[in-house]
Parts: sequence; C-alpha cells; structure tokens
Amino acid sequence: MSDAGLDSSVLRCDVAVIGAGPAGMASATAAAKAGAHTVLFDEQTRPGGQIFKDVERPSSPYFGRAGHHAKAKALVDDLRSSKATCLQGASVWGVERGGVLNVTHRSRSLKMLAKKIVIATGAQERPLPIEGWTKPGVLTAGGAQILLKTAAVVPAGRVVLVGIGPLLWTLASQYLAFDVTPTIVELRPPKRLMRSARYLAAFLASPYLAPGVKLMFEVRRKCCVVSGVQHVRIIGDRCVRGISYRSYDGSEGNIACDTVIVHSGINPNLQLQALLDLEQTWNSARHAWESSVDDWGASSDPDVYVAGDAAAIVGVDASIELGRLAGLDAAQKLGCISLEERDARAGEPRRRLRRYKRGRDFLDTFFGPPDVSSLLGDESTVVCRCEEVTLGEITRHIRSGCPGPNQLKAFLRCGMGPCQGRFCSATVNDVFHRITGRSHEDIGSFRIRPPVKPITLAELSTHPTTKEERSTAKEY
Amino acid sequence: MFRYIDGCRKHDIEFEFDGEKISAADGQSVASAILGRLGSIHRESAYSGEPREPYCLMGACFECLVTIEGCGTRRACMVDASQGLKVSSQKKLINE
Repeated sequence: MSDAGLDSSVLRCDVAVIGAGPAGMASATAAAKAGAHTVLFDEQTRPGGQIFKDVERPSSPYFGRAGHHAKAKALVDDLRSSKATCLQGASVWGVERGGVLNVTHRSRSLKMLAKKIVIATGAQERPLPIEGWTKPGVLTAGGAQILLKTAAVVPAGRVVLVGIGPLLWTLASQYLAFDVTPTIVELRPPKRLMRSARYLAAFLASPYLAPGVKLMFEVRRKCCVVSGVQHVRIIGDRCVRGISYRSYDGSEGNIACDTVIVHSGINPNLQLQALLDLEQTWNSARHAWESSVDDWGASSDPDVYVAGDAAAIVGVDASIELGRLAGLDAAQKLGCISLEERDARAGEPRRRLRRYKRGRDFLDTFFGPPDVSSLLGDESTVVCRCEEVTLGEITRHIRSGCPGPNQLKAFLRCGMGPCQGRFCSATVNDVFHRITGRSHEDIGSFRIRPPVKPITLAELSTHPTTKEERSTAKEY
Repeated sequence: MFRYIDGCRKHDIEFEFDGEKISAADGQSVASAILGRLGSIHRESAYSGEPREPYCLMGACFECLVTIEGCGTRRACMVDASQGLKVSSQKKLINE
C-alpha cells in the first residue's frame, strides 16, 4: 500500500472506495489483491472507521481489553500489504454519475475518475429527539464510545444511558470495566419479546447470542436498569441536571445525573447514495431507508456499489464480508479476474456472512427504535439542531399544508444547517407521517446537494476545470 | 463533566484553546482533548446563542464546531490535536 503524494488534480483509477471502515478496508483490499488499481478515500487521518478507530495507535487502554482488536488489526494489516492506495484525510464532498468523485485533500480539491465506485461510508446515530437533547451533557452512545476508545475519556459524575439497542448494553459493560456505573433507562415498548419470538429459533444459532446474553446479564447485575420507559425529558437549565421519565405502565420518576447518553440504533449514511439518486427502499422493521443492492453490493447504478452498514445495518462482521464481495465483483466486472475466480474467492466470505446474518431479524425487532410519536416532547422540542427549528413550528407548517420535507426547508430552513439534515431528516419524515398519515415512502427525504462535507472557498478554487480534466487526467 | 481514565497514552503535545494550554496525546481529536481537560468546548449556537457541546463525535452532527488556525466551522472531532495548534470556541453569529 502506498500513501499518496499527488501531483495532479485529475486522477483516474479502476476502483474508488469511499470510507476506510470495516467494509471499505475489506473492499479495497479485495479489489487491489484481484489486480484492480484501487484508491481508498478516508476522511480520518488513520484507517479504521468509527468502530476500529485508531486501532493502529490507540490512546486508550480500552483496545487492550476489547475482543475485536485482533480482527481490526488483521484487517488493517491486510490493507497495508495490498497495493491499494490510501488517501487519509481525504473528504469526498461530491460524487457524480459516470464515476466522478470530488475530493478535498491537503487543502486542495481533486477530481477522481473511477470506473467503479464502492460507497462504504458506514452509519450514523439515529436521532433521538427528546426534550432537552441539545443541552450540554447530552451525547450519543457512539460518541461516548469513541471518547473512551480513542482518548480514554469518560464522563465524570453520574451517568444515565437512555434508549434502546445493543450498543447501549455494550457501552455500559465497557464503562463498568473502567469503574463508571451508569443507570440504564430502556425505551423498549412492551411485547417486543413476543413480537420477535418468531425469529428466536434462527437467533439461537447466532454467534452473537451467547456473548450478548452474558453481557446483558452482567450489566443487569451491576447497574440499575429501568425498563419499559415510554417518554423521557432531559432536565436542566444550561446543562443536564437529570431526567424525568414516564413508563408504559403509567409510573413516573426522576433521576439526577450529570451526563445523559442517548442511543436508538444506527442508520445508514445515505448522503452519497442520494447525490447519485440510487434506488433506496423503506425498511419498516428497522424504520429506516436502505440502499437497494444485489448479492454483491451493486446498486441501481451497476458501476456503483454500496457495502456494509452504508447500505443497511448489518454490523461490523457482516460489513467486512460484504465489503470483500463488492471489491471482488468490481474487479471481476473490470476484467481483472474471471467469474470463476471471483466465485472461488467469494466462497469463504459468503459462508461467514450467512453465519453472521443468522437471527439478525430477532435483533432488529427486539432492539428496533421506539415509536417517535411517544418520545417527542412538547412543542418547544428542537427537531433541527443546527437551525434550531422546533417541533411546534414544523407541526404548524405541516398542518397549514406544507407538502413535504423539501418545502419545509424553504419555510423554516429545517435541514439546511451545517449537518445538512443528518440529524433531523428521519424525525421530519416521522412527524409528517404522524400528522398526515401518509406513508414514509410517499413523504420522502430532503434533497441532498453537494458539497456534503465542508469545503473552503480556497479549496474549491483549486478544483480542476473541465478543460484541465480533459488535458491532464492521469492514471493513478 | 469528563475525565481521563488511568492508562491513557502519554500526553506529549500541547495546543491552545481560547488562549489556554491543553495537553493531549499526539493525534487524539481536538474535541476529545478539550472535553478531557476542560469538559466543555464553549460553543454557542449560531442563532439563539444557546450553549452546545459535541454530540456524535464522528463527524455527522456538526455540534463540535470550532475555529482552527483562523478557519471557522471545523469539526473538532475530526481534527487531530497537534503541537502548537491554535483553536478557539465559536460564538453566536446572528444578533437581532
């Protein structure tokens, strides 16, 4: 693997992979080892994505204790031993049909012309728009885990974890290992176990069952767990002082704390897919939009693959295998390997993938997101954090006939701040659904436009013109 | 609001945040370094000036915005701390 020193601003490659998380690293390695000229773009300064962040140089004792350290290290070593070029600190701010990537790297803007693109941009936390979620002292479980993993930073004082999902329990167990004992307030509606029972048989064969049950048991033994909570409000003036909750059975309570960590599962990052107008479908069980892909990860545009959690949430292990499959198929389509060779190399990944996916439906149903309608606070609850648009304002505009999320932008600037709708798009869709009764598909999402990552005017001014592109395109 | 646990990597660099020296491990994010030492990045939201702090720490929420070496609206969670870096907090933008 070479770290790039670039001398041209228009480049060409066979396969461009976006994101150096589990799926992206596996994809770039598979494509490069099959003989494709592969370039991996990653926004961070070191490979690993979020889950394996800083695995090569951990600042925290966390990695020494985490079970998946060896797996992460093997993946990075594999990438380093391949001929894939890794561009770290490269931010893909746009993609265009026909294989064009617009990228900022070292204060310059580059254009990459790629024959195949693999989008492996992973996932983000699903917004949990409860009253007070913008207050200092509130952060996501993913964020809290990153602070622990990469910087050895944990909350001081009393901690409450609010929400639902496997990550909430994982984080609690990791905190316990470092003498932080959180209280867990679980937003799991009643009858979840009953609803997920039909997937139980398959889940009994899941490799995640035994470690998962052991972990939850340990956390339940050591932490105070409040279950069956329907509604939570964060209390405090300029920062968190505590939470107050109401359960499905009508009981209420308050918990004083200094930090509230929220989590309600994760959603695919769909920004780049949206720029390319790739086909996406609404998954009602997971309550999320997902990219439509075939067995190899190829999207509705056959030159674009979406691998791992960026297409649909499958978890780290399955993401690695899906990344490999996308890389292999891209290399085969480019003529680097034969169909037989592709299938032979895909054998093992497919076998492992089947194992990892066993019983996934159980997890999706059991840990599915809570009903947003029962969570949303009063009218003053902020939905769009960046532009500070409240639930009340959104509700009034929908009631007075605003036809959809894109019109809401025009009226309220909702979704138009720095995060570009990443933390309000899902909620806006839910609020429209709740008020109008229209289907999630019919309501749709915000139109996404480049740049999807911040770029300075100075950087943009270095972006190659079409004329330069014609005369200087260089094989990478 | 936050603290470092025992056994973290040696803090071998120092950068500046609003004029205050912050020690950190080379390469840890600016956001984690400020939170670990001060517990707050002192950001004010653009419109109301409400206090805001890092929320997702993975580059998606844009709540950890700071000014770095004179360039505003940088995500503190996505920038590595390095020796001598000049960072300042971002304040309310709109004044009625």
